[in-house]
Amino acid sequence: MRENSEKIYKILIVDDEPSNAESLRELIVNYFPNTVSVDKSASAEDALTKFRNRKYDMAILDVKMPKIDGLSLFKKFKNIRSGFEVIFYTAYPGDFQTAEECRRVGHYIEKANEKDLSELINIIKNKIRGEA
Amino acid sequence: MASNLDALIQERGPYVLKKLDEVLSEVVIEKPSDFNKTKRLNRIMRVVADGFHYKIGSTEFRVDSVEFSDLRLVRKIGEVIHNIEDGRFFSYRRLLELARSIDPSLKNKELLKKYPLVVQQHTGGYYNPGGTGSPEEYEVDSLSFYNFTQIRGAPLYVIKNEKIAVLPKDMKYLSKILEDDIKSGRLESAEQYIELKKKSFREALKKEKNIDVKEGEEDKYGFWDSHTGILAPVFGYDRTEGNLERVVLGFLEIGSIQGWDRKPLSDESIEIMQKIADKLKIPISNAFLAHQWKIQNEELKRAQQIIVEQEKQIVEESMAGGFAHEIRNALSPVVNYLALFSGIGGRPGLLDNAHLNDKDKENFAKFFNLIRNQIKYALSITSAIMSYARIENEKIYEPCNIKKLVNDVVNMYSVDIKNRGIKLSTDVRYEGYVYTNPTQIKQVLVNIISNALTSLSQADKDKRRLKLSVDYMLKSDKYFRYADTVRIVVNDSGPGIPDDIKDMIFRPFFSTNPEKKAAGLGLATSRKIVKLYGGDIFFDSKPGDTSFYIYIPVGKEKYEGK
Repeated sequence: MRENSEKIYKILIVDDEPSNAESLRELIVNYFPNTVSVDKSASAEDALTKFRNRKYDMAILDVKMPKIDGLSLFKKFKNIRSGFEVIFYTAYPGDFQTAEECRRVGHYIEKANEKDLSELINIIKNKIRGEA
Repeated sequence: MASNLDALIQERGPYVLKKLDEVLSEVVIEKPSDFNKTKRLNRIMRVVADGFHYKIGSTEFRVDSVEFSDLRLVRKIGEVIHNIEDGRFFSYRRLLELARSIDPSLKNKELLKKYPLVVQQHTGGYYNPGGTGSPEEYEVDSLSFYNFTQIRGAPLYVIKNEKIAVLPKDMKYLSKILEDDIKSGRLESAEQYIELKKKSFREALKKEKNIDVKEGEEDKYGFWDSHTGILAPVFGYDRTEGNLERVVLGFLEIGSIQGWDRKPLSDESIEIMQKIADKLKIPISNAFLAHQWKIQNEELKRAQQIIVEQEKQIVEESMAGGFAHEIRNALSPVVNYLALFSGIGGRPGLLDNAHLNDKDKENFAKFFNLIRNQIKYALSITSAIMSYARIENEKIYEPCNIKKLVNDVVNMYSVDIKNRGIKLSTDVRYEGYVYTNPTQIKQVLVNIISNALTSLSQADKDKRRLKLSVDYMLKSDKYFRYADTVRIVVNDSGPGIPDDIKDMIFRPFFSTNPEKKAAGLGLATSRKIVKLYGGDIFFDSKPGDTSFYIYIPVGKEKYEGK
């Protein structure tokens, strides 16, 4: 049982819009039904608790949230533990400065963009393969 | 009856002084704007001019102009004479310092003594490109400074009792004065100008006195003296910047010594003219104040305008940004579920694995595609709004080769143009650069040309014509009032813009294009871009003949000043 759970690729999605996180979770789970486990969180507090309690391989973070932005949350995650992938997920592609900062530490993809969504799936696929 | 200038001044002077007192007491000036309304200086100068206008035989005596000092002109004087300090009015002390620095020995002292009021000897005669001023020109609105060249061209010498004389006979200064005219081709050289003056001097002497003057001997007959004007300085206070510095406000031109009849002015005449000059100091100083007030008012308005524009820009940008964010967020789950059902990046979706018959599968695929396209459309509108709001962020001044740009855009559409049977003609008469962001200007051209092509597709196939022209405007035209501008005209033979929508086409979100699903931001964006660089877009349209005029200031100084 323990061995099995270590093979599972663990993803945490943080988005203040629950429907966004849920739809993304369903999409990912659909493509990786047995290899990926996806948790979601709608607030920074909840996300930090989850991140402390589970060793996630990947965090998908909304860039613009009401109380905290994705980059700051990422830094808080880093303080807890390093060695995870980060994907920034944005509904505000016009902000080039933030985009640059995000790209320095991880991937940066646009919401509601099929191409970027396809890229996200690819990234997950490669990560799973690389770790397998 | 007066027989010369001296006699004229003595005969008419007292009358002019009395009339001046009357006019001066008539209008009370309470605030600077009053001055504009009454055109007071105009009336005052008319009193002086009418009072002294007098003709004996062919000799006309006149006292007909006041030369106003002006910050701009004084600055020019400064440049020409001596790279002078900060361009303010000359103070008496400054004039004195200046005079000493130019010529400590003060030559021609004898002459100065003879004409202690103000004597001005021009280096090449009375050069007056604006023509002789008429009193009508003394509108406070424009403070006509046309004839200041006399002072500009020569060093100023100060003699006692605040009297000024301008003296040198120096070709170097004349060339400076005439520089603009020589540059523009109105004159070949300063020498040529003097030769012309000497020729007319010889002819006049022959005609009026029957004296044959040989070429090169004009000076013996008083050529230089005949071009000696007399100016009475009007001293007053410069109140324009809140200080009370005593300065030369202007010069009352009394007349010129008439060559062969020349006589120095008597002390009596000088006193009368100085009295008249003194009476002018308040109206002239008021005129300056009004002028300055007007300029400051305009500057204030401009500054306010800029602030309003900037605030508007910030609001637009943050609104557009917020709007785009919300729309994208709202659509994101839709896109995610769409991907889940219909697949993504070549991967099968839920639907592909579902047990459906082929017809249902086909229908579902069709419906999902429709949804996908609608989402793309919604997102493209948010992008268009974003880029509309962010136009100002892209403002840069770079050399932009207009000819190349036009050709690039034409090439972009060349297949389209050919396929639709459109007759294209381009006429680029400007080979230089405009200094703007080339990407933005390209966007403008693309918008306007693609509109023209859309319109042309509604025209009969054998009547499809697109004309592009680029030229450089040295002067203003009926639409655009600023020179040094490049004008691009895009003309098409499409059905034209109906009268009832002519007022609306530049509005954001206004579109007449039902097929292409445009956001309706093309023209609004184009105009906003061009206006960013001080240009504008206009059009006129009738069936079969629609022209869009794009004006882009060359803007080289902005590029160089960056």
